[in-house]
Amino acid sequence: MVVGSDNCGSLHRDKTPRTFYSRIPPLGRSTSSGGDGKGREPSEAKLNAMFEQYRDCNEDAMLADGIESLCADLSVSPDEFKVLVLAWRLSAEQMCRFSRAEFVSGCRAMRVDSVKGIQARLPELVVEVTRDPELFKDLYRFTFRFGLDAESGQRILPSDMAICLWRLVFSVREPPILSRWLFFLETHPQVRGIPRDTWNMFLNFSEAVGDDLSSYDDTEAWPSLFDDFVEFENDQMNQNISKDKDEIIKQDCN
Amino acid sequence: MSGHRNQNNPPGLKQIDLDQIWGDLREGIEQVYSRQGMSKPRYMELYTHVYNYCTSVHQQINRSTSTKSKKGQVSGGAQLVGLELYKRLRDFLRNYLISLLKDGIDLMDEDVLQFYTRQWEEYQFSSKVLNGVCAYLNRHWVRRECEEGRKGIYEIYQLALVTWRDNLFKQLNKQVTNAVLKLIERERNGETINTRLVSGVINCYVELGLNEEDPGAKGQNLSVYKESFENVFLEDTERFYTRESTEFLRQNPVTEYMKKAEQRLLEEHKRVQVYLHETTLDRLAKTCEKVLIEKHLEIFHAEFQNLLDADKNEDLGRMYQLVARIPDGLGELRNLLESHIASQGLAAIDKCGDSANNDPKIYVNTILEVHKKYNALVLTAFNNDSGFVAALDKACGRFINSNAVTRQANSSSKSPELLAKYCDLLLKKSSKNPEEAELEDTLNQVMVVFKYIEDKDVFQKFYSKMLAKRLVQHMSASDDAEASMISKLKQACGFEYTSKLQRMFQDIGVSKDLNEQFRIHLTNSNEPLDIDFSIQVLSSGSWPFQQSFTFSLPTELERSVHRFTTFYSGQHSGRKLNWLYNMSKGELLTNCFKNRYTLQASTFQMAVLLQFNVSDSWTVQQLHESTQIKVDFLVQVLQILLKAKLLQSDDDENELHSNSSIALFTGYKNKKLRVNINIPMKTELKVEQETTHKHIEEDRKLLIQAAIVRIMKMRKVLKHQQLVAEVLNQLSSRFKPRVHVIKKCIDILIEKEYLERTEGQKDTYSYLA
Repeated sequence: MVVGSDNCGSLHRDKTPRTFYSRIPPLGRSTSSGGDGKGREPSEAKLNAMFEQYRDCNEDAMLADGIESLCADLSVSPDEFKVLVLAWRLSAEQMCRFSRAEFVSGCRAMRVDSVKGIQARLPELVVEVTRDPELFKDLYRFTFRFGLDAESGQRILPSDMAICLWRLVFSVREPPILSRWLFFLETHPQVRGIPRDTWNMFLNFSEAVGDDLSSYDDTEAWPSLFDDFVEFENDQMNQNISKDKDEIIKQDCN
Repeated sequence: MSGHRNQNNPPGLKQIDLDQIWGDLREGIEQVYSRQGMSKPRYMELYTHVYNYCTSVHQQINRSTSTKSKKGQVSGGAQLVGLELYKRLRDFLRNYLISLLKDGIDLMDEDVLQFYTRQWEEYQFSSKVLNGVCAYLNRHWVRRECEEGRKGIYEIYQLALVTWRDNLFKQLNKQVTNAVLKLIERERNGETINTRLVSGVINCYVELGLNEEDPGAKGQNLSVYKESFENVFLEDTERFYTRESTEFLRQNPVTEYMKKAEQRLLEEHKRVQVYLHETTLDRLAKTCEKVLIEKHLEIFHAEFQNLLDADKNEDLGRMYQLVARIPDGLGELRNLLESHIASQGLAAIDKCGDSANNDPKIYVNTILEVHKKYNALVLTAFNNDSGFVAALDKACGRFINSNAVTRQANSSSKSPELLAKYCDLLLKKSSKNPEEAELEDTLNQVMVVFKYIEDKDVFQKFYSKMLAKRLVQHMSASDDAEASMISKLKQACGFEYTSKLQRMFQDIGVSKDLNEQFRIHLTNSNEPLDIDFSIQVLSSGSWPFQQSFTFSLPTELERSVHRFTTFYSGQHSGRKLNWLYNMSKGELLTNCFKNRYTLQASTFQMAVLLQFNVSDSWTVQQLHESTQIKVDFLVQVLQILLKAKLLQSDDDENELHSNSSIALFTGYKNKKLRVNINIPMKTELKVEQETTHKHIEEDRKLLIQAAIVRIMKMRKVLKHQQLVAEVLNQLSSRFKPRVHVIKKCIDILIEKEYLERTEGQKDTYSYLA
């Protein structure tokens, strides 16, 4: 799985403009970066120059190739958590694409105007987001939107993409239930996609159950996929997983 | 006093001293208390004595006070003097009773009762006379004393009561009460007693209940009765019945005991009416109920099951009547009844075995028999008690929706399916159709079962399918019965539930007229059709029919279809006709066999057979090309025709392939000249059933989503649990949604942005307008 590069599946190979999410205003988030010691304002000219360095020849945006070389200059791999954090701080509308506006205003908000600046800032951001649950929640919710194929008007994240993004976003703060959850999804191909609500609620779910599914109460307002998951896990535990139940899930999902 | 009076007595006024009258008065009073007859003049005389005494004293006092008023010693004539007379009367009564007590103090049991009641009655009577004699004293002196708040001064009758109480009752009441209780116990043991003795004592005790604080107040104060009799009596009763009931139960069956208890309760009720005070009724009943019933409830519960098993309805009724007297006593009986009915229902269905599975009539009748039996029981033995009715309903709901048959089918929708099939049996034309009145009755019975069906939507699906077939194939036994059944369903489930059924019904009526118009249209036009042609126009959406698949209509029929289409679009512009060839049928006249047969065939069969006007033999592939019927389906059509021996093939009918050659069998023979070859195909039936079930699941999801949106539109914000509860409630008249499915529907609605999770609040949804 690669965030910044475009080798992550045919869905994201397309480089034509994707308009769907451009209608959604970027997430309003605090621009004060507490740990920033640099006093001077980032220079507009430097930012634009840096953008020019990586931008695509046909479009006023940084695309897969540009991002890949940016990553190389930052000495990070495109599929690293840091790159997800960068995309988040730039409020990138979609994968494999930073528009000029996103890049310039995002960097200004981070108070950096050079590759070195970004390189120095990223580890700090990772620490911040790891420590602050509210920031992490913001990143987490951003990740869903970021993963959608905006061009085709996708509203539900395909299961395989969701699994990749869950692994990535939980590179830090990995919840104990994650591996079992991903195993469930991998072994249930009939669960085709993850809707936004299920994605968002998984964070709450993982915090609520910890490692112990016995506290799970299916009369509460959890998305129904968690019911299926917990039932599957309980069946696994009791060694009597029955075909019928999988059948039911299959039917429900169709 | 007298000295005072003498001193102040003005000369010339007649002075009446108490001593002057007391002698004669006393004589008279003695006469009263010895119960000798008294003439009216003598009574008047005695009254006059009292009057004279009081009035003369009154005048003296008036005078004396008026003369003394300047000194301010007394005012307002407050010193009415009757005290002296009052004291003498009191002493007289006391002495009378003290001497009376000597006669009674050593008596026991019935003797003391005889003595006490006789003396009391006499004394009470005499005291009432004395009270009359002293009326003037009561009216003036006594009243004044009381108004001034003096304690211990009573009207003369009450003085007599108080004196009795203090002098006779206090000494004797233990003996008397004991004697009364013994007498009652003897009566309880079956002896006849003189109830007058008891009622005499009770009357006395009641009468003695004076309100000492306010002697003038009317209405009885039952303190004496309660303290000296009722409390002891109730304790005694409790002891008696505790012993008796335990003893009786040890030696007799519970059924006998219940009779005994019932009789005992009745006796005690009568006892209060005959000789006790009415206020005892409730407490006595409670006491008896406690020891006779409540203490033995566990035995009753155990016996209840036995009685149910043995169908002892009379005893069950008796137990109900007894236990109903205990507050909250019936709960356990209701539970027992519920599980009994449920298990009886399950057992009855088990007993039918496979036949219940396949025969809707047996299935429904088995259910009805169980219901009828226990409905009658609830009605008669349990007085149609709402709790027991609810138990019956719950039990029926349980065994009807989940039993051996539904388990075998692995679906609770087997019950509604069988019930709908039973309706079809009843309403379809057949040689066994019942009389109209009987049919109506049977349909009412069907509604009894229908009431308990959880998946009413499944019933609706199957019912409408079968109704559609009856209507289209003109197989309804009676339009009235059909309409009546629809109106019953409408009553039970509302307009929406039957709207499609009603539309179907209407369409058939409209089609009748339409055919008539079309016939007239044809005769008026100059080119009549050479074949009979009738049509039914069914509004799409109301009828549960599938669109037919590809099919090329035989040229022979095309003209009819074309003529009608033109006619119809002339009548209703803008309406589109879709032809349901799979529902159509026709008749073919044969000229190729030895006899001239009339074949009743489906349109597909006609299409195939008509090909043989052109050639005697075709391959399957050729037939497919000319009719456009899908090969697998065509093979089934051919199989039936091969089986009917109208066609023949070198290949086995079960192994037809596209190159198999099919030929007309010219040697076809049948005893009948009219032959119905239009029999439904197996796959058709199976597919139909499957699609019915699949549609039900899909419809349910839509209904659940609609319900959620309705609820959320009204409530705007709602907790998850409440939402689920309301959805269950709203849909309970149709089916019982699984909570898991409700959750799926919530997921879908969040996704579709009808709902959102309320930010920061767990378990709460908001409606998005």
